[in-house]
Formats: sequence, structure tokens, C-alpha cells
Amino acid sequence: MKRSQRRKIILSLLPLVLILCFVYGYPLLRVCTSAFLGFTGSAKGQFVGLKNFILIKNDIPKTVMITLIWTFGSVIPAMVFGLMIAMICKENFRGKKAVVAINLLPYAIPLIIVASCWRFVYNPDFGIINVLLKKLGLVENSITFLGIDMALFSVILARVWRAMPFAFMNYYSALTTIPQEQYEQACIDGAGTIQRFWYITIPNLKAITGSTFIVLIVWTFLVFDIIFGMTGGGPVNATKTISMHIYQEMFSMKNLGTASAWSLIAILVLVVITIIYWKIMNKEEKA
Amino acid sequence: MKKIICAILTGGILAGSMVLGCGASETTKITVLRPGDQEKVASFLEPAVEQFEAENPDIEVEIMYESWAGWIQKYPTSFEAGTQPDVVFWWDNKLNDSSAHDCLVNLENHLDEEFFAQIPDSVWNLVKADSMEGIYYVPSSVDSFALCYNKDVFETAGLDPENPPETWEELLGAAKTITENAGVPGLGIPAITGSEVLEEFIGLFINQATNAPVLDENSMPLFENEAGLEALQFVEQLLPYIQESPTEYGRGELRPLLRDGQIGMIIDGPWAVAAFTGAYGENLDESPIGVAAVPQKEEGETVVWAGTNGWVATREETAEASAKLIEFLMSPEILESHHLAYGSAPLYESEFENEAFQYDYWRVFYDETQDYTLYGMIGADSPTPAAYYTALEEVWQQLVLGQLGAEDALAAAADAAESVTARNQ
Repeated sequence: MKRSQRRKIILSLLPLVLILCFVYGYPLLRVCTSAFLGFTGSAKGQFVGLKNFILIKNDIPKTVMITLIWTFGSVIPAMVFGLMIAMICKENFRGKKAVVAINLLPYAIPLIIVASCWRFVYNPDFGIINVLLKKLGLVENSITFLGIDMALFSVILARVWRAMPFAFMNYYSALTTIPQEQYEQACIDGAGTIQRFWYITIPNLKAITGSTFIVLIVWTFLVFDIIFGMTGGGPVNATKTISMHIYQEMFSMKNLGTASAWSLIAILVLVVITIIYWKIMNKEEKA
Repeated sequence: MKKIICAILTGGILAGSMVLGCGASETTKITVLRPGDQEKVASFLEPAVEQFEAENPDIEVEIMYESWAGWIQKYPTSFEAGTQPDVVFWWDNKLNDSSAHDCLVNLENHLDEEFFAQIPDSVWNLVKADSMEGIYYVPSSVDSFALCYNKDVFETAGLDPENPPETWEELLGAAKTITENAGVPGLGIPAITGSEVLEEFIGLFINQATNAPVLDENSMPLFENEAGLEALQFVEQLLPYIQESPTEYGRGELRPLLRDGQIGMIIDGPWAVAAFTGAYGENLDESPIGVAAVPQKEEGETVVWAGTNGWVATREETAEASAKLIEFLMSPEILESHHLAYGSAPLYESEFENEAFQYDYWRVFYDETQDYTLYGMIGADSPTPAAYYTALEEVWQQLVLGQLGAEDALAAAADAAESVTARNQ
């Protein structure tokens, strides 16, 4: 590449780089510095070293674990269901357009509304699930969906419902790009439905699966609205993810330092997940 | 010549209007915010402001509208940016709030003695932040806890609906009898996460047992003693007779259950009244819902939890005008319309002249406010009052879920409160 060409490319990219530096770089820098500054009491405005991390250290293992369960527990089922429905919708049948539209509906609803709706659905006294189960005689006492034992599962279910359309959309569009000849040829060779799915569909969806997975992981990891609206992180911190901690440190404790410390932990965990993902993808590509 | 005269006249008129304009600029412009439902706020505040402006032509008032949720999210940045309204409907425990503290104005010299005298001493004591000298906050609505109970459930359980429990022992006995005889939970406990309801519920019993606030003026716990333990042990005794999975219920979720007879009793404030009058009409005295003074510990003073909201001024430069507006908004006629719009209990005796307040249940709230020792929202001397609710809520939830015993909960709660305080030192 000629020097003048390279200069042109650099110059054309410069505005974007500057914007990205301003939009992402500056806040990141502020978070990194704030995590080591004091924001309360006599330490206000002073460098406090690792004090902010020490203040939150007892909560870190449990919170990271809850966040990982919440993230992977939501993303994997959302992708599986998204793929299943995309496979169904790939076929031609009556009412296909309606099925596609209904499946996309959750994606159009704001997260905080999703939280309110699901909270309503889970209500032990008049929630539709409990009312139905009681009417059918399947349970005598209400199931306490947002109680201490089931709260995490219940918020995950709501997130699966909300994230599934994204996976469905990606898979549905990817499925339409798989050449039909591959399936026809496999049929001639005597491949069954499962074999066709395993040896044709799955390999063709590898790229979209990877990108959908990583996007959903990052989104879900940082989702705050659903948990805030449904459980507020409780009961007894059972659904308190890193995002909930960041919110509470910032707005309840009014401590930007500890909120930034939690943010750095979130970044660290996401970086680790991304590195693992890259390594797996590279390994598979090489293989 | 004519043109010259016209020009001089025009110039004169312009100059005159400029002079007049300068005179008009002496008008003090202030903004006022009463967070909440816009329709309700407008119903009492718009006519009030109109009347105020007519009586005070030198003050121009602009009403701002914001929901409670929106204001809670917005106020820290609003104060930091200096864009906060001049007069705000505030919380008594947020006087030292780190965002607002430096902006709040001492109104002591702007309001006269007569004005202070119309609010009972019990209420002034309740809203006093020990760390601040002066009057920074004028309580406008005082909402104390009362015992709301379902008379039909009482009858089914074999209890006398005309004699609701008055003591802790009677409360426990009634809860037990209802659970056993009527087949519904005797008492509803609100323990939902992210709200202040559980701390207020348990705080009531702690206040009654210790006859002291939950935190002292240094924001250190005052309950780590025998009396505090007694309060938590009493709450523990109530647990077999409460609704299942209490952490799924706020006060709002318990009210329909009481209304429909699916629960025997709840402890709630005047905010509950609307939920019951919606079903039974204004005259709750003749309805299946009974309202009685909150049960007291057998020995000691009569103590009740009460929450307040009131007016603060946030700018020195408009303090005089702000104080005038606050004084006007606290006048009996305006306060009455404010309380009527929001279903708050009367604060002045004169409010009982209004038909809407003629019922006995309003007297219950009013009498408590006037005669009882009041303890209320916590954290008034701390820059982070909300942090105490967050920290204590986790412990109280463990207590009501049976994960912690009273003794362990007491120690854990004291630790939690102390650690919040330590962070601010």
C-alpha cells in the first residue's frame, strides 16, 4: 500500500477514532480512575488505593456467580429456543407470518415493561400462572416464583423470553441463506432429519451462533432493568447481579468509587469471557 | 417636523417602557415542585399558586411536574447542576443528603413564631436533624402507622371486631387466632426488596421497645440492646402467622388481600385508605375494614412510626419568596386541599371541618400524630440515608424468612448500620 493511500485511510478513520475515544475512552478512563478515589467522608477526592475493592470484596464471589448464572442461564436457552422456532418457521405453513411476528413481539417491549408484566404474571395471588395452576387443581398453594428459592430462575425465564427473538431473528435469516442443494444432496445420500440438521444446518450456522452468543452475553451481563423491576436484587440478594450492585453503590450508597470498582470487575469478567470465546473459535477454525 | 415629533414620542415611549420593564424585573421568579401524579398535584397546586400570585404580585411562581420515581432518579444531578426547583416537597430524612444538603436554606428567620406553633411539637421533634441547627424543613403531611383489620375475618375467627388488639400480646394472640380459626394469615408483613417498607415495619417495634429512634445523631444503631432484642423476638413470634413468601409483598400488595378477607390485619399508613374507600366508599367506619391505633408494647410510652414529607427551600437568593410560598402552602385552606388530593391524614384540627375528614378513622391517624411519641424515617443525619435501608433490609429479610434468629439479626443489623456509617467517616 502506498504511503499516500495509507495516510488517506488514517485521515478518514480519524473522526471515528476521535468519537470513539470520546464516547468510550473517556468514560472508561474515568471509571478506572474513580475506582481508586474516595467519594465519601474524609476520603473524598483522595487516592485510596484498593480501599473501594476491599469494601466490596466479600460480595464479589457470590455476585459474580449470580451474574454468570443469570447470563449463561438466559443466553443459552434463548438461543436454543430461538433456533428451534427459526427451524419451524423455515418451513412453509399456514400462519407462518403471524408466528414470525408474534415471536418478534417481546423484542419490541422495553425491558422495564417486561419486568412489570412478568411480575404481574408471577404474582402469588392473582398472577395468571398461579391462578391457572390452582384452577386446574395442579397446586394447592401458590408457587412463590419471586420467593427466595425461585427468584433467580424466574428472572432468568423473563430474560429468556425477551432475548429469544434476537436469536430467532439471526437464526431465521441465516437459515434462509443455506443452499437448498446441500439438503437435497443429503436426502439423495439417505441422510435423515437429524443428520441433515447436524451435518448441514449446524455447520452453516456456526458464524451466526458465535456472533449472536457474544452479543447476547454482553447485553445480558449488563441488563439491569428486568432484575430491578422484578426483584430489586432480592430477596436477600438472591438476584443481585453486578449491574444491581453498581446501581446501589451509586444511588443508595452514593459512592462513585465502589460503583466504579464494581464496573471494573464487570469489565474484567466480560474480557475473560470474550478471550475464552476467541480461543475456542480460533481452535475450531484451525481444526 | 411631524416626523421628528413622532420619533421623539416613539423614543420616549420606548424609554418609558424600558424603565417600567426594569421595574417589572424586580419580580422574584421561583419554581416549585411537588413530585407525584401530575393530575393530583395540579388539582391543588395550580389554584393555590394562582391565589398566591394574586396576593403577592412581586413573586412569580412556576410549577414543575415530575413523578416521584422520576424525581428520585433526577434530584442528585439536578442539585449538582444547580437546576433544582426553589421550593421542593422533600423527605425529612434527606436533610443531610449529600446531593442536596449544601443547597437547603435555613427558614427560621423567614417564618414567624405563630407559623411554627400551628404544627405540634411531636412533629417538629420527629423531623429534627440533630446535626443541623435551624428550620430547614417544614413538615406538611405526617403519616403515622395504624392497625387496619378485616372485621369479617375477625368475626369468622371468633374475635370481637369492635375490640381490635391494643398491645403486642393482643396482636400476637389475634394473629394466632385468625390463622388457626379463619384459615387465613393473621398478619401481613411487607418485605419486598428495594423499598423501605420492611425497615419501617420492624423499625416500629424497635422504636416502641427502645423508645428511641433506630439510629442516633451520629448514625450509630440505638437498638443493639435488650429492648431491641425484645422487638426482634416479638417479630419472630409473629412469623408463623404471616403470609407465605413475605418478600413478594409490599404494602400495596397486602391491601387487596385485607380488603378481600385473605388476611386478617396489616400495619399501614393513611395511604392505605384510598385502597379501601375505593371498594367500600368514604365511610370506612361502616365498612368491613377497621382502623385502630397501632398496638403498643405493654409497658412504656405510646410510640408510633410516622413518615413525613414537607417543604424545603433550596436557594438563598430566593429564600424570602420561597418562605412566603411555603407559608402560604401550609395555610389551613391550602394544606387541607393538599391532604384531600393525596389522601393524607389531617395535620390541623381545622381540617376536620371538611366533610371528607369527618370519619373516625381519620381521627386515629390524627390523634397518634398529636399525642404519641413519633419516630420515623432513618438516616436524617447521614449523607446517604437510603444506604441504611438497603443495608438493614437484607438482614430484616433474613429474619422474616427465618434464615436468621432474633439475636443474630440484631448483631447483623447493628453491623450493617455501623458499616454504612463508617463509609461516610
